[in-house]
Amino acid sequence: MMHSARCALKSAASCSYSQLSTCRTRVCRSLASVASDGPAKSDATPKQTPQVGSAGHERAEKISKAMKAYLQRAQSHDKFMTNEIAEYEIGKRHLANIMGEDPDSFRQEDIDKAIEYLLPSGLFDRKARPQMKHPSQVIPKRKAAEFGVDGRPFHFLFYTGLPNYYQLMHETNLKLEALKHHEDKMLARDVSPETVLHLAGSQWLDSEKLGDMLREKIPERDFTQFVKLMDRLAAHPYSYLEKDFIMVYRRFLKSQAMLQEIPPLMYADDGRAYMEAEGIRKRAHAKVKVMDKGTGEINVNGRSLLRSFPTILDREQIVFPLQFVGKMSELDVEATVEGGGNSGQAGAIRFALSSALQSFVDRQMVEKMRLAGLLTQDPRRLERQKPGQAGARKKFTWKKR
Amino acid sequence: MCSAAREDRATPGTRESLAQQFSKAIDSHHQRRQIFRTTENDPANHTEHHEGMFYTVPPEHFHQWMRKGLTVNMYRMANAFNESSLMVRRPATELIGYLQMAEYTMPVIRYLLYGEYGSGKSTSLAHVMHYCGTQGWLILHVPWGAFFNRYSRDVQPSVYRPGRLDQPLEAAEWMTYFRQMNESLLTQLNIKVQHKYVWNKRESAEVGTPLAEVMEFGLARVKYAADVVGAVLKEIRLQAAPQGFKVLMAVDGVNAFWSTTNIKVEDDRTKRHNAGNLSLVHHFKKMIRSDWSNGAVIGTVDAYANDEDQRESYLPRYVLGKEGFEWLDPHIPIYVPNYSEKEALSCLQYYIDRKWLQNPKCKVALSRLQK
Amino acid sequence: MAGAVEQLGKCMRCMSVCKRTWTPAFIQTRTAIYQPIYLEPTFRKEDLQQPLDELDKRKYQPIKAATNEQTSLASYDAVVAKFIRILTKEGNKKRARKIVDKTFENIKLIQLEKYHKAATEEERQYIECDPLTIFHQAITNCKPLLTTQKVKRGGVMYTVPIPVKPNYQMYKAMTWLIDAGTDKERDIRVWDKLAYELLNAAQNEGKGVRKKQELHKLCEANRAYAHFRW
Repeated sequence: MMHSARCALKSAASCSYSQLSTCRTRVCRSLASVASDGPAKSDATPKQTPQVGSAGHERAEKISKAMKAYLQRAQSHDKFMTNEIAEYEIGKRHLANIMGEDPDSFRQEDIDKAIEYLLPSGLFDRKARPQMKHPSQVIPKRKAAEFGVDGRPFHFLFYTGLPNYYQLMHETNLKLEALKHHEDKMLARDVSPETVLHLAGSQWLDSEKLGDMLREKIPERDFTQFVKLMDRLAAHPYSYLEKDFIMVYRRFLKSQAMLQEIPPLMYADDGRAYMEAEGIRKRAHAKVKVMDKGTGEINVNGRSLLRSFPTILDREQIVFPLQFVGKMSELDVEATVEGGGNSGQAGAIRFALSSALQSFVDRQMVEKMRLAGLLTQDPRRLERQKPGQAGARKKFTWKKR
Repeated sequence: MCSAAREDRATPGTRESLAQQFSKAIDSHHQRRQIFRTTENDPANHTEHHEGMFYTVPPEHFHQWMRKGLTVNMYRMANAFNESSLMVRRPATELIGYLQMAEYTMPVIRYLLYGEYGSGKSTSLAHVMHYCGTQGWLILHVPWGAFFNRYSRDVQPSVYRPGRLDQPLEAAEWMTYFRQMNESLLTQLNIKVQHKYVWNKRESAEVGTPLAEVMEFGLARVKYAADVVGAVLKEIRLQAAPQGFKVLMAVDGVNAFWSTTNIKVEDDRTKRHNAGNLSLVHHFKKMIRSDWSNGAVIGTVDAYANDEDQRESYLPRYVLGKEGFEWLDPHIPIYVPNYSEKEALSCLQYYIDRKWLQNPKCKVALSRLQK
Repeated sequence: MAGAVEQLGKCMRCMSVCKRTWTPAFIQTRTAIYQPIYLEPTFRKEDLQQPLDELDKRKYQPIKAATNEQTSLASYDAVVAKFIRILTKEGNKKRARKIVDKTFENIKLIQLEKYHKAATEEERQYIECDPLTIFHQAITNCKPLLTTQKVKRGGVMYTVPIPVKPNYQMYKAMTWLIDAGTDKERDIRVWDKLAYELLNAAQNEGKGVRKKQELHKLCEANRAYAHFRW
């Protein structure tokens, strides 16, 4: 019986969606037979001639023990959750009292601000910083009971290990087939699609988010398959018919233009507007001060640009942002730079200069600068040497023997 | 962007950008208004009105007086443009003015041209040499002072004085150069030696020997060439005033006379000879003292004629060092600045005219303008 | 791995906002430095004259930093930049750039001499003085249209002619020209030889063009096997 059940499952995995319903019934039936019937023939030994009824009862007892354990775990989790929530509520009130706020109207944003104030942290990863959130957001959600008292799973794909994921894949595939069928019909009638599905401004959910949605941890390989399948669906000419379905699995990207805050110009004693900025490239650090009402003079570490950067390549780098915004002869630049080599220093100055120039130009120009790659910090660094190799990529001489 | 002469800066931010001026320059060129050239090709007539403009050096003059004074690039461009033009700049016009005003019965005045690397010292010197040449001066030109320190092919112990070093090949080369530069004038002057020079037991130059013969001897007997150079220089500076011919001693990179050579000392191979130990340098140094008259000494102070560790600053006192500065004290310093905006623009117009600037997008001013 | 890159990305983004912080000198990852969401920059001003379309993905996705050869200056030429990269040895791009600059200068000097010494206006018309035009012409003349591929059929290795993709054409043309330029005596400078080779190639002569013609001949000789491609 188990053997036939296993065979049924295997075939279930490989058959198409339309045939799946028949597979399902076969699988269900075999599983059902396992639960209700007696032990397999291999279990029978000459000595023991167990009764059908008592063995089945033993099995049911074993399964219900598993179920009992599961139920116990679920109960203790619920208890744990209620405790946590109660503690959270009390903690919230305490925090409100510490901050001198009204405990009743103390919301999550207020909690966040209070924690940031009381426990400041310089850690880069925001998730690593101290947080106080409602337990339902912190503690990962668990699935509801996946099998009944008799041990029979509710979901027909339970034994895949990722039932929701595979169900989603099957659904998507079904939709894709339906769209193909639709397209064939339309082509037969010589009708073209009415509109196109535009996916600009959104991105597929990452595997974590999808996992949260499906309450399952999805391995990398399977997630890649999911993305491939969804891409195929979205690329279909008639994908606009399934727009709602597709959009569930996409997250919207913010327009990059409005992301950064541009500091306003500062004014010196002589009335000249100026802006300061810092920049890093490889191992070089640069600090740049850009001043208004200038003649286009650029000084680096007190020396003229020509003396500091004899190479034309470096000078072009530094002059690029000024030429791009068209203010080459209007602004004066004073830069100090240390560390790194020639090209690194030039890159650091370029980045600092671009950052400072943002305050001197309008938003459209800032957006253009962003598109030109002037406002992105270049993250490239020297690649480390690996053990067993001569350099980062270079290998030792290969010897056949 | 143009680290240029300060006096040209008008109210900042309100002037036309260099790019706009440049665009206009291109347009004006297309309208055939050649405001970067002057037809005044005689350096004697160059005044501040001609500043920033290019004048054409006639080919014969170029070959005679500018064969070695300019940069390699300038020679290549002159060849390509099929003409040799120099820009009239203030240091040169200033110097020419001084030379016109100077009192030649007094001891020679020393002029020093100084400035940053690439600012135009050698070119200004060449311009002044052109002036002196056209005025009939005898020109003694050392194209690169550090040449004897760094690039001598053959070094011999001095014939005349132990401890000094001769450079026979270089001396012969220099004499040929001097002769070729002043060919017609030398035949015209027909200077005769006023001292006796004994080369060795059998050979000597008696009083009254023509200078040409002495030089011929030096070229034939290269062993004595360095000493012959000394003799020639001595005669010239002693006879300049009495015979009434003006002499220009022009040295590019004069500070090299007080730096070190790359010639190792015989006894101690870790040490190197000072330039003063070279007989040629010794003779040239005597020439640039102000103990003679009816002439002028113009030197260029170039940090790159010094050793590598003495190039921090371009100012004369630093570059010459204590000894050199005292040797040349008193002198008239003339600062040679980088191109001003007007000069840069003029240069660009010249390049457009000669089709040197080819890129059709070159209406945008680049940092190349800094040079 | 992906986590490390993401963290580094966040690290870098924070840097411009935070005060001076310690930055790692080495990068531990072997994979691409930028996350896939980063797009190539558009750094030429003429490409940015129109505002972006609503549906342009550049609006919503971050852009990579421009490299050190990418500028909006008039002196930038994409083909020349590629040439410089191929000419670069052991990371010494400065030297490669110097070689190319001097080569162009040499071309100008040679051509201008001819131009200014030309007797008639008519002669001058045919003398091309722009080194960039000559360079582009030389590259075009050296680009192969077909190349060969070894295909095994029935135990025998055949040389089959196949069409060439544009990138490969460019690469081949440039490497042939560079090989022609560096194949010289010790006392001749690369920029002199290369100028000479580029001028020749622009006239459809010289080693670079000869290489292309030899390859074409080989393809022509083996055209019977062209169908082995499929």
